[in-house]
Amino acid sequence: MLEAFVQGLAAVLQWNAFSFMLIGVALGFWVGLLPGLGGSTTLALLLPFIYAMQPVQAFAFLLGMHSVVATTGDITSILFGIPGEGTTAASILDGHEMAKKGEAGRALGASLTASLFGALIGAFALALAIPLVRPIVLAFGSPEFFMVSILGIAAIASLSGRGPRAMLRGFLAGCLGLMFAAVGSDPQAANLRYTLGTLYLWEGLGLVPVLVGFFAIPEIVDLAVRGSAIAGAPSGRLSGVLQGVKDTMHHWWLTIRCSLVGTYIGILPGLGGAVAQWLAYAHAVQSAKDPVDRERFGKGDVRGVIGPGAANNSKEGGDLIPTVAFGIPGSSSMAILLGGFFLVGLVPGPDMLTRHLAVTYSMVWTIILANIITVGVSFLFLNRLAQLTVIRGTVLIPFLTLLIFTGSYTNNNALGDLVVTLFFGLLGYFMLRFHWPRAPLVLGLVLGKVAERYLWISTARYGLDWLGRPIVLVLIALTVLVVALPFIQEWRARDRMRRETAHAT
Amino acid sequence: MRRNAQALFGLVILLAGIAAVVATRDWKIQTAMYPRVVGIPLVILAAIEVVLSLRGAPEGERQAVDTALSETLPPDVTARRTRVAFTWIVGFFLAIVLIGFPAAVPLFMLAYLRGQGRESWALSLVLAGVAWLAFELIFDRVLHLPFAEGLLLQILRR
Repeated sequence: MLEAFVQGLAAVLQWNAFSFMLIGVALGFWVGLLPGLGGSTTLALLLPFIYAMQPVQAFAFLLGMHSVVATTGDITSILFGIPGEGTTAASILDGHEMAKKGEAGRALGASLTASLFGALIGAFALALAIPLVRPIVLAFGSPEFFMVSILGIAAIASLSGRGPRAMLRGFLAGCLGLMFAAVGSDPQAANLRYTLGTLYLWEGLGLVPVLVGFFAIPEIVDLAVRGSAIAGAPSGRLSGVLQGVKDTMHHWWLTIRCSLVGTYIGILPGLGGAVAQWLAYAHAVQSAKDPVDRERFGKGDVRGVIGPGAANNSKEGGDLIPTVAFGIPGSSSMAILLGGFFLVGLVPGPDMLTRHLAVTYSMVWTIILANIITVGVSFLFLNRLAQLTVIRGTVLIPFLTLLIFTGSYTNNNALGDLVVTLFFGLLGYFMLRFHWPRAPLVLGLVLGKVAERYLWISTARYGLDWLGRPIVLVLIALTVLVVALPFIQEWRARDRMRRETAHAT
Repeated sequence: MRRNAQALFGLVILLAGIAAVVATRDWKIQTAMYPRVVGIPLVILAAIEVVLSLRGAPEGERQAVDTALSETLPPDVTARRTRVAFTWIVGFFLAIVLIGFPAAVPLFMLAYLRGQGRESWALSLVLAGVAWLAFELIFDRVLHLPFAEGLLLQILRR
């Protein structure tokens, strides 16, 4: 096994494989930076180029591109408040707030370092988990997957603010997101729902137009209202970047935990990076010491950058585990990559863990090397990138608006994409104006289709008996705990304050 | 005023939720089950939100874990600038619909930089040119995205 591990590294370092990886990394760098251009779309566009390649070269090329898009996607999210990738939207909440305060360098430093650690942990999880993962994946059936979806939404909704009113709005936003997921043909009978008589909505709401409008349009409007640059204060230079690196080191345990969240969500089929980042964000919020500490999130807390940054990169390794080991793609990107396996003459499954083990480990090394290179290159240009936040708003706004509309249009190449972007831009603006949290809505939208499919299969297959399955019971208990935890923390904080007041008098 | 606006926003969500649940009444169970399971709690929660908003119930710390809009300027200035910003965004969308992406991009850039940003003619022209060039190179030449022809051009061609 160790021999195959070393062989994998040697194979990636051969000049032709390494060159293809560098080309992939360069493409992934720009795909991540540009909003709307998704990693999975680019993966599909690159597939025809691998026909003549050896397996190691092909995966160095494809994974070199795909494993770094989340890293640079975080840069766009932090600097401009526009999600560079669907998987990097959660970085906006605190990262962009830091950029507004003139701490863009610190936010980027923290995000890139967390991304690197996340990618390394995800890659090592892939290396270690291959022999162990089978029972974990097979223990989860439809009822368990449905409950994981509910747990995710409950976690983010309950942590959406302080007090019962904020939680009410969190759950309301979550339900709204789940409802938006119902748009399009239903997965059971393919009957149309809420399509407003348009062909465009048959396939449901595209995640890219929704996310781009939902997060970027309110930011642009706010930038126009302020009439200044993104950064109200002068942009942090190198010291800020180093501070961000130190922040990640200081919160090393949070980085590891969020990386593991990302890896595990990557392993579970159908959930993917868009879910991983929000669950990691929720976990970061949940790790706050008390309600006052939790209030710092959403206002530029570096922990809100570290969590999603680590998770959206670590999920790459996790994503590959079921794809390589069982031929079960965990996400749309992995489904496309599965096509790549067949194009180069490989069959995912037991062979990848025996005869082609060196090829499997070459994937691990590609993820590691590609991320080290990308983070290194990003650090070189970080100060210049951070300076973008001090450009006058009047110059930046038309470019950002152009990016929003072109990015959104790439989803279906239809004007409907732009209408969806405008609608969600308006909705996002009003939600911000009236202090409704947006994260639960996004998670509801992402998980809605998955939740519906698993709910239907569970009910059709087991009736109501699925509610009594042991793992389901554990997940229900966890859901209740997640909802109750903010109240318990609030109660303990008040109790402590009361005792301190009594002690003082 | 703010309380009314909040209640109105909640009311819109409530009515949309009711409409979504009512729409399921003639659907088969496999199609209707999920929207009902989600829609009914949505309606209940939205109704509570509307009632609390109308009663002016305290929002507690009222801050959601989310970014916040600037509240440093006077409300009338904020409202006016917000309307202007949305007008430009919707204006760009209408320009795309009417004259198509390739023509709308430089036109919008030039109009915004010169009209709203009060930038110099030279800078406005250079930046509009750069935006158009980047758009053409990336989205047209490299990605070959099929951009729809503008409505006006279609009408004129008839």
